[in-house]
Amino acid sequence: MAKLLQLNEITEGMVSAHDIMTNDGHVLLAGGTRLTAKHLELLQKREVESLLIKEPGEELVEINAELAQVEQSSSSVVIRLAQEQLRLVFAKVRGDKLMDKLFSLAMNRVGQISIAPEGKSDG
Amino acid sequence: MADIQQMVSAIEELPTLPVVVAKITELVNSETTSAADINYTLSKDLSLSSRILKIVNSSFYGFPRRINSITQAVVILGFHSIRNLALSSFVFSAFAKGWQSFDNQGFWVHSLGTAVAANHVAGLLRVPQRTRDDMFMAGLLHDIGKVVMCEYLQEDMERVMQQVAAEDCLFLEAEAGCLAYNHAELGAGLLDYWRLPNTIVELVKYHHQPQSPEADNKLSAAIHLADILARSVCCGNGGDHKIPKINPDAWRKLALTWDEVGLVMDHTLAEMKNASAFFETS
Repeated sequence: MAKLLQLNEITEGMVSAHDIMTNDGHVLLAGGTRLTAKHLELLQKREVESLLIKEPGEELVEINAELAQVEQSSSSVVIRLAQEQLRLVFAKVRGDKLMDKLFSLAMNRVGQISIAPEGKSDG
Repeated sequence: MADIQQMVSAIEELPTLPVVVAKITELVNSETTSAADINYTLSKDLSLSSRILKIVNSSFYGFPRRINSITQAVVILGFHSIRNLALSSFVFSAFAKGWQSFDNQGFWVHSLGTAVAANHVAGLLRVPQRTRDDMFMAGLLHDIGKVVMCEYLQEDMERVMQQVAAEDCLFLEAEAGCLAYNHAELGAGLLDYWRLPNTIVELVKYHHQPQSPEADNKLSAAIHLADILARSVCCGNGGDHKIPKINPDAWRKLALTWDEVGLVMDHTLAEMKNASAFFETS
């Protein structure tokens, strides 16, 4: 949960939980900004009185969620690459009964396959 | 194999088997050898013994307690495994430098993957442990002929690799198109020159021809399958990006179920994750 703090309670390094808009509708400070002395000065000048600040734990949860998302998408990329590699390896033997069966066994294990870095390997 | 023998002996810089490794190989084949004999022989080569202990204590074997001496390792792993480690250690260090036309590391990963798969296929065939160990070694060395080509027959190697690249075909198919010999025969020639046990020499020689009347059919079939299984889980690189078909005769001889084949693939993937100690040559 974010908490509402008066401007004089806010110190550098805290993270804003929402956008601060100017009267004419521009974003003065985006939510999620880690506040610096400059930001605080600006807020004071604009006579902002209070701000919703993110709790430290909350930040961590968000970062972890973001990291998990990155990991998930990169592992799905790795799996897609491994599938692609398997298709290439088996390209010329598809249609053979034994090799089709082996291909499907290999595809089932594609999550564990580590793909060789491309480069000098194929001379 | 007369021509191949001539070819091999014509390569002047070909490394000979180190005395200690040759002696271990000989001892392991003798019925009267004791653990103390192996220990005594290995004690003459401290760097080799320490490399062996490093692999034995790595997560590849995953023993719960540290093995501190060669004698202990011999007792736990058996003579043939120790010979395998001595030989692997030698070939990895002798041929670990980069090759022009070939990814050295990918090559050894493929070789070790084949060795691991061969050991598990042999396990399913319920052969004695020493045969499993021979199968591991044959798997590791099955493509050693390609090493000889990379190191000493570069022109031949380059022709083959050019053909592999141009036609996206198997290394074996490219060889058949431009050379009068193949890597399997050449590898067997080297191992024969090193006086390795005949079983291993023959398995290497026939790993692409498991149906050959001269081959020990079941074991050759197993090496043939192990090579294909290592490729099917993209384990390293044997010089091409393709996979040979499983020979139907070999498949019938092995009489395995697909569940068993899946199990071999799982073991191979899992063990290769812990295999880095094999490739540390110092």
